[in-house]
Amino acid sequence: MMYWVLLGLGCVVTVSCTVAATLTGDLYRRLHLLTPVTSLGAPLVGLTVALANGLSLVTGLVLLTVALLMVSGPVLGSAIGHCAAARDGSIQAGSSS
Amino acid sequence: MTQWTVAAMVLMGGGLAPALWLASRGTAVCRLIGLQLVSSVSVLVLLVLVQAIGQPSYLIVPLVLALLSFAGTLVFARLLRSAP
Repeated sequence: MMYWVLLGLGCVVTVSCTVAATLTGDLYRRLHLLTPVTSLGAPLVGLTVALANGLSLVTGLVLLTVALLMVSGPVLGSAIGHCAAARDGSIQAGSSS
Repeated sequence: MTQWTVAAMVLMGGGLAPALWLASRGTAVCRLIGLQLVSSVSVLVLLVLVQAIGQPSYLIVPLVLALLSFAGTLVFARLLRSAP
C-alpha cells in the first residue's frame, strides 16, 4: 500500500509539472516547473524503488541515479535560464553573472 | 497489473507525451526545456520499468541517460547562448 502512495505522489508531481509546463506560455515559468520534477518527483519514485529492493546494490544504483537527477536538475535550469536571458538581451552574452 | 506497470504507463502518457510535445515546438530555448523534461521523465520511466520487469541489470541505462542528458543539455545551452 505504501508503494502505491509514494509512487502515486511521484507520478502526480511529475505529470502535473509536465502538463503545466506544456500549458504555460511563458518561458521562465516553464523553467520553474522543471525543478520539481527532478527535486520532488524523482526522489519519491526513487524512494519507492529503493524500499521495494531493500538494502542491496540495486538500491544503491537507483539512489545514485536519483541523486544525479536531483543535482543536475537545478544546474540545468540555471544554465537554460542564463542562455535565455543572454538571447533576449537581459544580460550580456559573455558575462558570467 | 502491478503498481510499477501502472506508474510506468502514467509517467509515459502523462509525463513523456507532453514533454515530447514541448520539445518539438516553440523557440530553440523552449525546445531545450522540453528536451530537459523528456530526459528527466525518461529516467524515471526507465527506473520504474526496470522494477516492473524485474531485471536490475538494466539499471545502468537510466544511470547513463541521467549523466549524458546532463552533459548534452549543458552543451546545447552553451551553443544556443551565442547563436543568433
